[in-house]
Amino acid sequence: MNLLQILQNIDRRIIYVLMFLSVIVPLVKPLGLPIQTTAPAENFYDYIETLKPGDKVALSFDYDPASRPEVHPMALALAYHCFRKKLKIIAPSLWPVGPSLAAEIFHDMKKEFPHLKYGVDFVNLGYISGPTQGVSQVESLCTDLKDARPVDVHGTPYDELPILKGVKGLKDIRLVISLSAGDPGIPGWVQIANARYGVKIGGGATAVQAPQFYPYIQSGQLIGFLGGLRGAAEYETLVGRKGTGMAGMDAQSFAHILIILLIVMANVLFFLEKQQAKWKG
Amino acid sequence: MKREIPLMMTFIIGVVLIIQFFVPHRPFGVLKSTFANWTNIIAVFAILLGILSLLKVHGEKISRRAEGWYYSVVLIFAFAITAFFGLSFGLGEKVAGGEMRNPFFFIYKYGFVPLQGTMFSLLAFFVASAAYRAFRARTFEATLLLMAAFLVMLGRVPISQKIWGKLPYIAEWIMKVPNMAGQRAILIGAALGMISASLRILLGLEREHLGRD
Amino acid sequence: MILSKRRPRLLTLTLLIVAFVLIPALAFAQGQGNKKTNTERWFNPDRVNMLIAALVSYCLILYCIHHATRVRLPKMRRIGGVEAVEEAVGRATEMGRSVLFVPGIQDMDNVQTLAALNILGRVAQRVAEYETELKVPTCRSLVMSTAQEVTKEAFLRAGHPDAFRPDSVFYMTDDQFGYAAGINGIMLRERPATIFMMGAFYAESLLLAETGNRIGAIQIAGTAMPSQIPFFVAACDYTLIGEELFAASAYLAKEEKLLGSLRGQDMCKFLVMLFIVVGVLLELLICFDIIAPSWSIVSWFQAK
Repeated sequence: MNLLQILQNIDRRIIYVLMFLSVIVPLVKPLGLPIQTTAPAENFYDYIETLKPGDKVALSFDYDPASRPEVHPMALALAYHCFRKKLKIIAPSLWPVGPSLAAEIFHDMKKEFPHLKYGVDFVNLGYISGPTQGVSQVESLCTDLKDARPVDVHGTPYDELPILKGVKGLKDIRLVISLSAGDPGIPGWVQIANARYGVKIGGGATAVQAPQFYPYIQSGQLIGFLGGLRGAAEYETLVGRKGTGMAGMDAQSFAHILIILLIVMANVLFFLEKQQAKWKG
Repeated sequence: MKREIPLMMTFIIGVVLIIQFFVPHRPFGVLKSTFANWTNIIAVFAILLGILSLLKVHGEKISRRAEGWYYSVVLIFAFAITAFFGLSFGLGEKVAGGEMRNPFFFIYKYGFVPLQGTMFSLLAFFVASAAYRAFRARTFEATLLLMAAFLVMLGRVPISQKIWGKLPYIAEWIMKVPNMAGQRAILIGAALGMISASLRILLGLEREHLGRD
Repeated sequence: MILSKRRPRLLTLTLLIVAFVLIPALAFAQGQGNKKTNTERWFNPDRVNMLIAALVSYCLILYCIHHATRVRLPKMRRIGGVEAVEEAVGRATEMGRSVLFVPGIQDMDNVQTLAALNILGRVAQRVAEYETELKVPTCRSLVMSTAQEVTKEAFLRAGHPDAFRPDSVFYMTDDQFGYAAGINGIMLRERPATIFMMGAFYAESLLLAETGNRIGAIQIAGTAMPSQIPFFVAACDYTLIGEELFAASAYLAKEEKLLGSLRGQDMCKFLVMLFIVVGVLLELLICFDIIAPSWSIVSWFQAK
């Protein structure tokens, strides 16, 4: 086996070690690279800025712990922005573990906004079960919130929660934000809440899913969108709150550069091998 | 009759659900949510089937002392403990700030969450090895794809501004124009494929899932 | 079953047209304007466009099914992944190793899962004929029950009912990454020679495909999830992209009615392309003030 073949068939573990180092070193020694914001995140921020204190917003937790590193930072940044604007947050979940993640967000926000009161400023509605596409869950949340969730996650009846007074369904509120890592998620909210009831929808999703939501951004069905850790970092920049989104961007920069270098190296080796074969033949 | 009855039910319920989409009047308007509730109830009972299958497979592995039987012991032990705490405590009482405190939440927060995060993080390593192995500029189209991939990968990270200030805008354009066109094409194609597949299932042409004649 | 004979076929067509056209027409005639709430209406007028689209696509597909049985099999382009099924199962037999079939992580309410199970039936029949071992780990209990029935029937059709082992189709876990970890474990321990990954997948797609690649298995994947297709293309030997997953069972069956439905699907796609081109042209002309904005057809396709 010559050097070309050895390099082309390099042990995967060497690649894994390089990836590990490219991620861990910037996390330990951050460079603090500036984040440039893009239109989808800016539009999202601008829309929330137009809302008035006391307006109600739904923050739907449609992700699980696996996607937590990407989606949780944007959830924190969005919740921070909403509470800073004195908006009220209603938190349904279309995924079973969503309520636990919602509880974590509110727990963290209580540290930054000690005056927040459960049931008045925010409510954790709990998990709404249904088919995978989320259509029937979103439909029932939009039309009859009390029927969809007669009690919140702690068992408090709907009528005993002041934040839900006057809210028949989510179609009555100013904005629904879906933090999504799959189905049910943003497609269900856009196809039902926005298409049928004209509810404004904002979305946050993992980077892998982000490309498929650009049609919704372009058509105006999503008022704003945050894609992956980059989206979280952009929103943290916009609200001026440092978080794990910004902290992870240095690591992501080096990881991307490593992948690009690996691809370039692989292609150079590929062409050299072709040339070698040509010379021999 | 073993296959005819399910086929008739599939056809009738399928047609009724299509009709209810256009006819809001009772009884059609409420059919969708009714059937959705019935599906949930059936799915919950079906979980019992899955659990029994799981326990049977691993129980047999332990009794036969098959290779790796000790992992089956760990699985059954973890299953029993989580089920016990979940059924006994649920999500538990909320404390100040709304956080739940109980053994089940402890298992979730310090066991389940890190494990899920770990599995998801493997993707970073696998993407690197897959990229190194598979992304070759063999054809003109593959070269174009590689170029687009480089621009998007660089444009989406802050270091791109140090390289060239226009990179983020180029990456954004690639996402907004060619990527979106491709995503729309795949979505439309897949949707039409689903319509055709659904119609075949409704009409009983495709009945592999019921066992063919 | 429904379209097995000519007369019932025409009757079905007639009934469908009557149901979808006459009833709403009658409902309209009742005077929708007097009705106060949506639930009092016999027809939702906001959905006329979707009714027309549904009728047109159903009629096209049904016509093509009918035409294929009467005239001849439509010509189909080759799909590499479908043609490789036989070779892939044969490879597993030669190597004395098993075939692993992963039907996705969604439940029976997802059309991709149904498509995957249809393919499983065909694959299981081949596996039974070659007397190879088959393993089908599932992520949902309902999928497990259905997959067991499908596999059992396939073995029966192949004339090897005794070769079917109920334990070969088993439930793992509902959790996405628990399922991925379990399948990775099976791949690394048992080293199947052939891996089929058909159905709806999410982030675990690359975990599975890369592990399969690592053990040197031949991998045939198929999914309609746009975000996961690139991972399968990068890591698998053959990938069925989007609608090819739904077409695969028709390809494998080689039945006229099923292949005819593919032609109908293509005709619907042609119509969509026509409307896109016409719509874009009209919007361009409106943009340059050559024609009035009322010529726009965008509102025809708005969903409610």
